[in-house]
Amino acid sequence: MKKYGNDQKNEMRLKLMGMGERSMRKNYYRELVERQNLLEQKNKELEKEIEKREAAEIALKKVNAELENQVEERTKRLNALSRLVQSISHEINTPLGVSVTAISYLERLIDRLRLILEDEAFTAFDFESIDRDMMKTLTVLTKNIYKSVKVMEDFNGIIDHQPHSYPEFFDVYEVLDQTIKTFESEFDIRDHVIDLICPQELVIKSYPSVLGEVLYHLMTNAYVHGLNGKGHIQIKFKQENEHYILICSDNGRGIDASILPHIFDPFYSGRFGQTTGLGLFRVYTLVHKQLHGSIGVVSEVDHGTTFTVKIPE
Amino acid sequence: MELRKFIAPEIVFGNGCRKLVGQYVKNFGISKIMLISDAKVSSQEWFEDIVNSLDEDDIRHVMAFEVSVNPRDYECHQIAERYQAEACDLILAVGGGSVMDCAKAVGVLVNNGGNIRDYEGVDEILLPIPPLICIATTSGSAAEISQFAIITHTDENYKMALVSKALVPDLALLDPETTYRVPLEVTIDTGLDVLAHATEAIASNASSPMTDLHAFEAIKLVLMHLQAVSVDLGDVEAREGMLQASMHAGIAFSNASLGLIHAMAHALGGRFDLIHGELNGLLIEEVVKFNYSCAREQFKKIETLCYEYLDMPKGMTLDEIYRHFMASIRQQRKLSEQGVDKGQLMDSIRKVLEDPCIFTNPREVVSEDVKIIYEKIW
Repeated sequence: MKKYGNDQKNEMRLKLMGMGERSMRKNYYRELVERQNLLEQKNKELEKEIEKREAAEIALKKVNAELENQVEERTKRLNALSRLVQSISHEINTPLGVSVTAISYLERLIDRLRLILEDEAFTAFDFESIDRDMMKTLTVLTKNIYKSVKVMEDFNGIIDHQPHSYPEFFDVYEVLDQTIKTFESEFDIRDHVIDLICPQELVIKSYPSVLGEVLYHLMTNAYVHGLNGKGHIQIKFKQENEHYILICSDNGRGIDASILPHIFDPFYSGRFGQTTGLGLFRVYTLVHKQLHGSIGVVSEVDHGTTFTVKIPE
Repeated sequence: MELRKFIAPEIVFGNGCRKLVGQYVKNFGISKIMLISDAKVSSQEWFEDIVNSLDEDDIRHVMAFEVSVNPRDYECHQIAERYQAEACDLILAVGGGSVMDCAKAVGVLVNNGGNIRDYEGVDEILLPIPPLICIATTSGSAAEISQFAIITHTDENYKMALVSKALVPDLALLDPETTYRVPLEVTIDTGLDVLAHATEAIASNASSPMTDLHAFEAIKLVLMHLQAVSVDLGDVEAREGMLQASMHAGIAFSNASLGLIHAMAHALGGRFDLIHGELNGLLIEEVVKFNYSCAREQFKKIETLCYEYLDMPKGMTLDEIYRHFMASIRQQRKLSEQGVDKGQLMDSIRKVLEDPCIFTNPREVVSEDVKIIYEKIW
């Protein structure tokens, strides 16, 4: 139980009369103002935090977008790879299937031959017809086996190689000019014009045979798919911003926007059956894997096509 | 005269002054307030005028009507939470003592935090409460004037007294029209409270000429009007007179404090949830008798005053005069008739001696004294 001594009772009495310390205090205004300032300060700090968080969010979104891009690229490549494998197996299946059929037919022919030889009354005519059939079948068999071999060879030709060699110094103009001459000797270019714009006596360090092959395929592509009537192929080479740029443009039929994304895919052929569909895929592989560069294409239907190859020095 | 301090809020007295509330809130530069009242008051017709006044001045108000007759500590916390959630800037209390005491407690919690029980006692409140406007609807506890707030401690069941200058409202609107519909029993209960306030302010050992001025005026008005209004509740002059009495008594006891009557009323009222005014009426006679030897001069003055205004047999002492006066108004109920258990009654003696009001009682009080008085009123 609270017991109050006289002093305490007096103190209580004074407080009741309004003399209490807190009652007399007027400095609460100062305290309230200080509290307010503190709150404002906290507010400012919070605002700064929010700014930081927002910036972090933006950075995160950026990274996310990049990652998504990479995933997309990977997926594309995987898809291309699976399509490649599918195409190969399809290409090989047919000739192998025919080969199997041919072999079984050959077996039947051999059986017939045996029967004939056992029969003492065989004639030259009987033998000749079987012989003819056997030769025909062998031809078919051979053709198809070689076809399969070719498919695998072509395939080998386009997948990852060990790099040919080390880069070497060479005169660009000479290599490109030589490639063009080779091309002109293989294709009928009487109705067409081929231009080369390239600085003379420019020596660069790169892979001359790879560069030549790239140009060769690009020109083939332009010739086979693009040009009609009086065709014009322009080849340009220049040095820019620590990169070498090779441009191959034609004034031909152009490429429709719907097939443009697929032209570098393996076995994708604009003219079904007539080409392997591997030319541009080869170019893509060479440019990226051997030359460590990139290739881009711009095209419009009836207004020609331009391929731009960019490789670092 | 020793050093004295005198505190009173801004007071506006008169019929219809409740309609000024909107203007006053605007004067504070505030646009959102918490309106604390109770179901009975808010259903009165004149209550509308208050809401209209607020709407006219585009003041948004959040209503809280869940206040008990003896406000509980947890009620104050609940309403304080709402105040903060709604981001109010001012408290408007419309009602009797319970509503206004609760409003004061809400104010304490909002700016000081913690538990309302921490602020029990005298001068325990550190930071000022938010702006507080009180419209009294009874005559009255005078909470709209005083530095007291009485809140029930719901674990130990007694009434905590919170006393501090911080609890004096910024504005008291005393509008007699709000008291016209107060029912008979409540009118008498609150009137007796006024009498107790004034008497104790005079007897207080902290009384002074400044407080006596108001206390005596209060007693005079009670003598003039309490009986009239209990006979005719529509007597507007009597209603106004009682409201004036309440105001004067409030000014007096706010500055001189109280005494044993209220110390006992707080202890009992909290324990048994009794009506404060009625309890005061029951205690006043015995306590005046008890204090007489230590407040002789003051009481004699009151006796003189009583004889001026009451028609009574000569030679009575103050306690007898009061008994006579109260009997002429209504019959008292003893504690036993109010459902109080005698055994539990004695448990509350300790709380009586701990109540702040005891410090200004003219005579020293020990537990035996309290026990004797309890027996007399049981």
